[in-house]
Amino acid sequence: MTDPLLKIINLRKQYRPNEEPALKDINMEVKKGEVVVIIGASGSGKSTLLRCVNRLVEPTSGKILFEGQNVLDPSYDINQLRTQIGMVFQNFNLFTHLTVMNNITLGLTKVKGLSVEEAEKIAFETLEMVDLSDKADSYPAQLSGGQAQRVGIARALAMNPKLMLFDEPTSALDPELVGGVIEIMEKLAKEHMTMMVVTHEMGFAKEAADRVLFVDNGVILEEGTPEEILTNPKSQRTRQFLNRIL
Amino acid sequence: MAIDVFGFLVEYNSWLLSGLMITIQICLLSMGFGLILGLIGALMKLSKNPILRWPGIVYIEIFRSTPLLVQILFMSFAYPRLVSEIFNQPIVLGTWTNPSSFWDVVIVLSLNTGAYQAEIIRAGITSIPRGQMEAARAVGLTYPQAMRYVILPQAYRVITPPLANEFINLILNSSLVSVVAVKDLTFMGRSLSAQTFRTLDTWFSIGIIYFVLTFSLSRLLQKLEKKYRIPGLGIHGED
Repeated sequence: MTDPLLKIINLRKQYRPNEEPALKDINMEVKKGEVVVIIGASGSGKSTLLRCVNRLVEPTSGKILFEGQNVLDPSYDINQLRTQIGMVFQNFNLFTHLTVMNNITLGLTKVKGLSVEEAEKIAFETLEMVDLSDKADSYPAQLSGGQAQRVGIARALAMNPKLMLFDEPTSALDPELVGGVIEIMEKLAKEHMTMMVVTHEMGFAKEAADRVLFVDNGVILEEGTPEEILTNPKSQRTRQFLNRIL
Repeated sequence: MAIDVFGFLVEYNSWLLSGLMITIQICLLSMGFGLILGLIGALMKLSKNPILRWPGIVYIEIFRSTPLLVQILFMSFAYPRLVSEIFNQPIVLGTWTNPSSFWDVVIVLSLNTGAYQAEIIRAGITSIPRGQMEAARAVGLTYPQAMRYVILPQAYRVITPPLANEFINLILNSSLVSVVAVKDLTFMGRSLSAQTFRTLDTWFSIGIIYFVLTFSLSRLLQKLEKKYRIPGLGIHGED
């Protein structure tokens, strides 16, 4: 049996003392090539969980093992970790002052130390993958939401990550623009990219997920294959949540 | 009584020009130092570390909460006395380059405008949505890199208009240095008016020169603002 790419042990996050923790004792793992979809109501802790993985949120206690090494270790190089974990945000968070091209090359040149030429070559290839090579010289404010999110995916992919985190990638999009983004995510899943996806798109979960986790009130309440969770949930709470959103 | 501003400008051009040069030198130096102080002050005040944050806050508040004229007078008269009391030495007025207090006023103006610029820069940085920093860190940029390549270039565009305003204020406020005998444009006005008795001509001329100086600067800064505008972003009159 191979070691999981990511293993989370007893993870806990409390934002403020005297407040209920956002995450209480999370244990989970993600194998290489696996697509894990995390669902749950807003405020359940699913985004916090995702953000703990690349330490955009600093966990209170617990362990996060990436390729067997604890990333919460003070000696662990956090910036090195982040080059290996791509992140796609709900609000895209494209750098508004840079062209699409430079949004993608910034990390390649400044973090990975590639030459501008090499970086632009990679950026162009990833833009082709998300079908936006004609937008290389546009600025983020000139793109539609769907295009912006595809650039967001391209920016993360260009770093050649081992794991991709998606934080509600389609929640800020107009309904007719969701499809294009989902299509790319499904393509990535087919190419065996390891992905952790927080989403309300049950279609994507059914189509592409290997496993679905239902997070409620800071704990993983239920975990299983898409069929198990989406069509035949065990807990009353999961059933209630699914009824409300489907 | 006749008004002959043009004749006055021609006749006393060497006096006026030497005053203008001093004013420009003081302002350029103070703007430069002030910008550095402002950036440091802003980053200090934004720091999570109290050892950095508190000195930043104290510096900014002291210089924003006392009159500039008092600061200039303090530097020129009280500060030398303070030094002499502490080191038990005789008083030397014009601490840095006797007898002119040129550098004294450059220091005061730099510290003063630096405090205002710090607040402008800090407000500019905090106006950038949090997601920009998150995205920058998520790609693997360090905090200083994220500041340099992502946050500051965006903040810069927010900061430019109020900073331009501060530069113009600085030029106008620099006239206060004439009270401590720095031979700036206003000082020249006071001497010329006393020597020639052409009060109207003098102060019309001085006013015109200040106006031309600040007006052309503000036009220049407006051009820069337009040039560095981000396509598709913000509200503009055209397009």
